[in-house]
Amino acid sequence: MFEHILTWLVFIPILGMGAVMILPSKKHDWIRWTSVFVTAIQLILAIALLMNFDRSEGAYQFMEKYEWIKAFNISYFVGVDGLSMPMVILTPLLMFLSIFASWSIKKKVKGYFMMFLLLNTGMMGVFVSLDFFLFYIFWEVMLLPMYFLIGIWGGPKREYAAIKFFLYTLAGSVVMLLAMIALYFKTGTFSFLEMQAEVANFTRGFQIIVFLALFFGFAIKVPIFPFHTWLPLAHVEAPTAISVILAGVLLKMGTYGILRISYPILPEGTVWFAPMLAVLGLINVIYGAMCALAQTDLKKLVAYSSVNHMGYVLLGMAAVVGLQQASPEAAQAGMNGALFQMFNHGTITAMLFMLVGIIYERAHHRDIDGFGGLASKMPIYAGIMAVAFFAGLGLPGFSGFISEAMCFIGAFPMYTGIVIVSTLGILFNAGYFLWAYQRIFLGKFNEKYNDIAEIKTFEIAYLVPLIVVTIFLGVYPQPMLDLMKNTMDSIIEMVNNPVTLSWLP
Amino acid sequence: MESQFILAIIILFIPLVSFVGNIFFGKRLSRGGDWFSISTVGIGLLLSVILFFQMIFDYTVPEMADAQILFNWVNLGAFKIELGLLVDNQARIMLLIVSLVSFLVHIYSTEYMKDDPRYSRYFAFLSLFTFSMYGIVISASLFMIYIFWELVGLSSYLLIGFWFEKKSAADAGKKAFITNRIGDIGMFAGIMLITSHVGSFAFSEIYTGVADMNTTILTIGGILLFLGAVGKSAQFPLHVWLPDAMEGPTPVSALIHAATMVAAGVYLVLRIFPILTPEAAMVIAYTGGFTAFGAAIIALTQNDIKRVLAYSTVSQLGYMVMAIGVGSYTAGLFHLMTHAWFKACLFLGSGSVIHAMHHALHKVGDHETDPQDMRNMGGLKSKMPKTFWTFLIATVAIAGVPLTSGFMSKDAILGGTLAYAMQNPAHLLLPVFGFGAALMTAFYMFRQVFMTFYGKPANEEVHQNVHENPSTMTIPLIVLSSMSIFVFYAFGKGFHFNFAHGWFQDLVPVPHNLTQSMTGFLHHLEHSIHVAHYPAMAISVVIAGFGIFLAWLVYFKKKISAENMATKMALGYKLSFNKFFIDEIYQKRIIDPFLWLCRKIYWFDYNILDQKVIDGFGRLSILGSKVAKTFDDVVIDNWIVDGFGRATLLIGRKLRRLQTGKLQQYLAMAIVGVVILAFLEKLM
Repeated sequence: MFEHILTWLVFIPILGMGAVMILPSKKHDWIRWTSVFVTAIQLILAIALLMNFDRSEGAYQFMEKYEWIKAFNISYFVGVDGLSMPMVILTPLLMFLSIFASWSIKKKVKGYFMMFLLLNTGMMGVFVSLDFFLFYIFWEVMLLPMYFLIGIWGGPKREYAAIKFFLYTLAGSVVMLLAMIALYFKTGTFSFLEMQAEVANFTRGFQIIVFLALFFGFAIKVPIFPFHTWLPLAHVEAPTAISVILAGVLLKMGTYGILRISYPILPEGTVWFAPMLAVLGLINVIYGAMCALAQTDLKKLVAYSSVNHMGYVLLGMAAVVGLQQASPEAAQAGMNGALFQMFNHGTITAMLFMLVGIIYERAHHRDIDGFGGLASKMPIYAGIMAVAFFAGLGLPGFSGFISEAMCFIGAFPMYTGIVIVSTLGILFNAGYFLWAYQRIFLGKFNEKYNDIAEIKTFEIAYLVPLIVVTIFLGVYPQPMLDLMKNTMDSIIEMVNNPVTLSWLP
Repeated sequence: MESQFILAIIILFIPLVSFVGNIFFGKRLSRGGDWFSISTVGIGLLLSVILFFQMIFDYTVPEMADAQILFNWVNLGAFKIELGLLVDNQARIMLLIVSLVSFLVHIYSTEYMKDDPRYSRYFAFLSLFTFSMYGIVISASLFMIYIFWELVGLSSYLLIGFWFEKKSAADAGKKAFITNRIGDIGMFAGIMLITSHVGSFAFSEIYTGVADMNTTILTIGGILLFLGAVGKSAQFPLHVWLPDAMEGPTPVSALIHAATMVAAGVYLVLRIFPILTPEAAMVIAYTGGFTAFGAAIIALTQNDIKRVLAYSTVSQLGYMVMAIGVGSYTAGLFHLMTHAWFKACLFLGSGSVIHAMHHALHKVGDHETDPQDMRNMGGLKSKMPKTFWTFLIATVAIAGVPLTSGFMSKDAILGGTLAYAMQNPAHLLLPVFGFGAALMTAFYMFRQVFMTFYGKPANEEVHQNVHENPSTMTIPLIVLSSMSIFVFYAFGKGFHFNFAHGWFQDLVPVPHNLTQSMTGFLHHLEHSIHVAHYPAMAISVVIAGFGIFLAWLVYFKKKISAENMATKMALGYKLSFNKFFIDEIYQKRIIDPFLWLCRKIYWFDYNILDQKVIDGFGRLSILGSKVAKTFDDVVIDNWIVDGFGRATLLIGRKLRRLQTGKLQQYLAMAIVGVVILAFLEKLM
């Protein structure tokens, strides 16, 4: 069964979408439970994949390749390695849990879950594609349901936010498409593996131009300053579960793309760009944190915290050049830290958005200053929020701490000044989370919320898995690092010594 | 694994068990689960005592390699993060301090926190704190210290803000965490700086690995690491959180803001001592000295019983830091220990007074009067004899009166600073700070004793209702105050009496694996220390006596009016009373402008970057498409496309004239056509 497991993982949600389509649209519970069932199977498959994944191996596994459009040498080509594996676990996990966070969706339930499942396929496809054309298709497939999910089920300014998200990302995609075509004409293939084999034929100038074009597409997704402004808007308008997916999975597609495509295929471009990446990381960290400090809308605060946290990923990624500068341990720390941070941010920010959604459903607003003293009325909710906030501000014991620390440690030898300034980010981080926490939960109880209901067991149930993962990896990070380290080693090697290796399996 | 490590692991993790247990099930357990926390801490205490006496009976200073075990927490091949246990004599002594104070505070809290609605959560947090602190104490690697360092910060946040309904408490908790994080950033930068050169996080590797490091970088690294201690040990300029931390329940103040958490900073300086250069040490010494002196000035005028003690703590921590800075390694840890006992005793004593005052005020229906203001007390000696006597013993000890532990440790520090200044007279300021702070300490501590326990009660009715607290509160006081008596520290190997040189000096010597420049520096200092020892002792006795005498004149005999003194030295009084306005300066000059900047940046982000630039592109393309539409409509469609149409029509209209319907005309045309064709054919 493992021969086609990736195909199953990608297309099971489409089957689910078909099933939902034929269900009567009045039967909301049937629709919901069908979606739960489908994503549960997907999650189980992902776990089975994880169990059978060979951690001692850095190369692609579970590959499937079929010719698709022969004239252009396009194939259906999928596979996983240590880079995609964490994402392939993260996506079904968050997808599964956010279905429960979608329970309160009452409007056009059928359409919502159909779009939701289609989105799932798009994301999984991106993470397993080994053919650029396929990658691009999935990349665009994901865009469409996202547009509708924000545009139909969102808040008051949903249409503006959805169009902005769509057009912005599309603008990035178009430039990415050009880069893809440039690579195709240079190599005559869309396969990542075959492109890597041609690295020696790419001139430095070509690499830099293509790197920049790809980067534009990916940077919008991450999002990297100054391409981030669609994010707070989209988050504020998106329904809870969509925010979870947006921040938890979609943002990672940007950094994933850079690591999957730009790094191995454009090593010289990467080395050239790495210092810029560190600078952009610094800006994301500080700028994002300062914007978060200025927020009065809790959801926007969490959105800007994503800008802040993805900055750490960029810092870690910039460390890839460590190998050339005689500090291989720094390159390892940075690259693994970056990927680990991508995963951890996914789980932590998912928790945060779910929690924001829970309070919004009760209070019907998200104004940080509009609450006060809620801890005395909702102690369990306040406790879980404290866990999420402390995980978010990088407290040891939670997974975010170790990955942030690794990003810093990795980047430090090459970009000492930048890293020292960006450690201020962890201070501001603590500032915006604790300050928000105080305004919402501590101090005198706001009598307005006398009837506010404590968090329900159902809601706790979908938060607990995330808390468990966050704490487990915070205490014992090695299993996750084992998963990724061999692949990260080979990416580091590809970037720094591109010609010495041969890539084709 | 050797027994010491097994014991250390049990000590470390057992409070974690009670934290988890009490957080989830505390409310369902009898007595809110306090017995669960107490028994885990009790086991920890027992095992710590075993470790301690193991050390006393062995009476050796172990080699570092024998006292530690390491393992790779993170291992990526080239990059590793080592964690591990380091159970040397310093750690054993600290374990005893933490576990004993923690145990006594747990016992004490069962009475103090009796009616609190979040009783079991309180005990869970105490356990969490104890766990984190143990972690710092037995860390064998800088990274592990950092991990537990942050967890201590968390516990402190939770406990300071325990009564979070009070805004001041919530503020104080946040302030503590964030101020500490400022120091932590420096510390983390220091960790990165050192380990990127050494390639390891383990102390044992770092101590030897820094030998070939550039001295300037090493100095910077040492100072950066020290910044962590500046935060945790409340040194200037990051001391501001500690006095505010008094918003927490008083037993918490005793445990974490007097005896243990704040000592973590000092402990860190001890741990990094082997990598300090003399220059870095000098920065440390001055920071400590300045803090000791400045905080003592503030303590002179405070009226809140806990605030006096808070500033006193800041000042005493300054002593310890200064001691290590001037190379008196042993004295630094020694003072940490003696101070832990008497300061915990003082805090718990003040808690006892506050508790009694609170109940008395409650009884007479007074909800306005502040039970912590010493001006509302007076004459409590007869009402609370146990509290009084234990408080007095601890006060005598902190003032540095002979035959107390405080005298022994403070004297060693003062001797160290004096020797340091003798070595280089440019550093005269350090002993001045030291002795000056000693004088003020004696004064303000006895001021406190006189204001609280002597004189006429401020309110007779309240005074009538004050009662001594039950033994759960007084027994900890008795235990802690007795630890302030010199006998515990005045024996050497085989329990032989030796006042000048006890087990502590033997078992906690200055480490031998120092940086080269530091070794040379300390070698030169050695002679001066011998010379300075007795003069320092003499001066400190005189100074302590003078301070006590002064307090006696002002607050007991009332020969000198405190109010007159305050008006005469109005500026000095104002500065001291308002803590040199440091909090206000931070708020006005740093925090407010920073938040203003944040709001401006966000304004820029939304209004300019998003609405103008990004949406500008959108508007630009709409404009472009309008232009294109116009072009399309007018030029392409109207002019060109329709032009063709119009042209066709026009031509058609012209050509219509040919269609006349006359047969002759058609025939003529046909003939002309045939001729032309024939002609054309000829041509080809």
